Amino acid sequence: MISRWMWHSYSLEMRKLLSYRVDFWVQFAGSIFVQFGVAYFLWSAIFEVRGTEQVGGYTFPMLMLYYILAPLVERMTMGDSWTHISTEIYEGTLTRYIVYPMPVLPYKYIAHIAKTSIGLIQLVMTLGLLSLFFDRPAELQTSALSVLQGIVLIFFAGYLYFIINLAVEMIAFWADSVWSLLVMVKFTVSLLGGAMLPLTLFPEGVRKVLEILPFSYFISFPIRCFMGQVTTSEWLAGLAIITVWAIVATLAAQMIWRRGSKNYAGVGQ
Amino acid sequence: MISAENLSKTFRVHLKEAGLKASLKALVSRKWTEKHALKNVSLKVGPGEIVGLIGANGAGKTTLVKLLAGIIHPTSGTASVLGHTPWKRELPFRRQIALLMGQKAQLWWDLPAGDCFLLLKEIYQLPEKQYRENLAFLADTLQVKNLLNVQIRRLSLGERMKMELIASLLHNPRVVFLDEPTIGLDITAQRSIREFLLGYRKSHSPAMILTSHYMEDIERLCERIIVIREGEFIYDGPLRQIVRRYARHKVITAHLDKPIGASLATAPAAIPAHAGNGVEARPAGAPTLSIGLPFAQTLVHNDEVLKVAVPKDKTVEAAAHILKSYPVIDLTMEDEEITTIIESIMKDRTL
Repeated sequence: MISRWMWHSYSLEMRKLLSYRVDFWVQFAGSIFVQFGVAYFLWSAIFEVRGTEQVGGYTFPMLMLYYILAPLVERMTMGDSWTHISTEIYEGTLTRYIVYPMPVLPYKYIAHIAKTSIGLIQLVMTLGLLSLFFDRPAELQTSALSVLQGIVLIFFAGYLYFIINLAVEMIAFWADSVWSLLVMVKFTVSLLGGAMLPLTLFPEGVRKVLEILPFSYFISFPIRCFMGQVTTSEWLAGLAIITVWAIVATLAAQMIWRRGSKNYAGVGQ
Repeated sequence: MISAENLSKTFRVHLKEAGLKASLKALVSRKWTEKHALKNVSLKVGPGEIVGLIGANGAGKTTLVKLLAGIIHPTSGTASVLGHTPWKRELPFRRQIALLMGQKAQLWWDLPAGDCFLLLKEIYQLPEKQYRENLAFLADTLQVKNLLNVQIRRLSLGERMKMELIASLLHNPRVVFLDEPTIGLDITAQRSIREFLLGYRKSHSPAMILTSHYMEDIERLCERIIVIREGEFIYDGPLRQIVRRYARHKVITAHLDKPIGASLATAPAAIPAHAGNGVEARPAGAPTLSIGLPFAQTLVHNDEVLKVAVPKDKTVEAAAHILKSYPVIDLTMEDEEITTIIESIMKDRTL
């Protein structure tokens, strides 16, 4: 059962995020126009030079759809990329979670879900806008089942990303500043997760390795699922891999919290 | 309600020497040192008691508060607060305590105070009626009722502190830790927070531990004080008793019938210049009247008043000398001010 404080925390976090209107619209427009714009000009040139119909199994319209979905799915699994617990450790504001009778890790997860909900709102708005101006690509095999499977995947992958990121951020208990480490994680996830390039463009061997690592499940796999490119057995296998990683990462995060919070000095600005 | 036995806390801190060369060197090898923030301290605090922690910066006051509130773990020693070991951070323990740190905001910066309080209501699982009554009482008393819908980051320092205080007391805590609750506030806000805390003690009888650099906070709120120097308790007892135990000087104030101006000399500042009793303190380095007694330190002299500090055992001798030598119309003898005594204790390692 969801405690009342959890629901209340979610609601507060949402209000907080929505109160920054400029940030919301810049993020929205940035993900659609900037990221998509770059991909559009780059790939239209590649398709033209190569003179082919498909690259890595994608037609040009499908590839463009991939690039529209990538930042939105990324936001739905990764929120704003960080839990910010490292900053709270550094600045000493983590104290509030120790004084108030609330478990810190669930609270942080609720905040993460609120951030991913913003991604969902932006996804719905984007798809609504696109459907006004463009026809659905003929190759798109999206069905009600694939959308449902995609949503379940995003929920699982969202938790996995959250807990991995939290564990990495909690290294701040010992290292003070972990900013470079976080940027490295973010870049790795973007590259190996499929935010920059669809993973079908990677060599076969790399793809095999990526299948058992968590990265592809944050962006590429859910997008393929939404596009109807994932079979139910692949979907189940994906969920199983995410679950295993999530259990490992949760145990690691709990251990890091137990040890790290003993190291916490509550000092800072 | 609060007890601690032989609590010690040692921090490992990395030494950072000045300069670019040292910073480059530190990339490869770092020097560490141990800082003993608390050394084997023990205390007991009962219900309704407000204990003031006094000490210079870095003496260990905040470390002790953080230990007892469960924020940090000790290096050694034991503590029990309401029957719980604080650093185990059990939820029943956290539901009954409050920690207010004047230098660190705990409320959510981007939210209005009203929203933060609603969240705290759910976190502390407060019944609706208790929440409404408490909030109305606290917001009324601290005069911030019209600010509940303003984002915390848009409030002034004093307003923010009042909101932090409300957040700390909404759930009627049985133990309250206040770490410099009036820091940076104007006199009116300081006074209103002090009055409020006294009222809260009267109505709820919590055990309170207070640290403050403002002696007025301590004098107004605490009957018992603990003086900490370099991580050790050097005094733990009634505030008034510190005067009896540590006052080494008496202050003699003579009101004069007519101005005196002879024997001007610049006296060394053996003890700090006092102010009070409506008399202006002597500016540092200003010429001072020497009253002709080697052990007497002139603190104030003007056309109407002569104020000197003398060792306790020389009080009678000094008073007789002043009465004999100057046109005195009134003479009083008082102990040193508490602030001065505490300052001396904190500085003087022989005490």
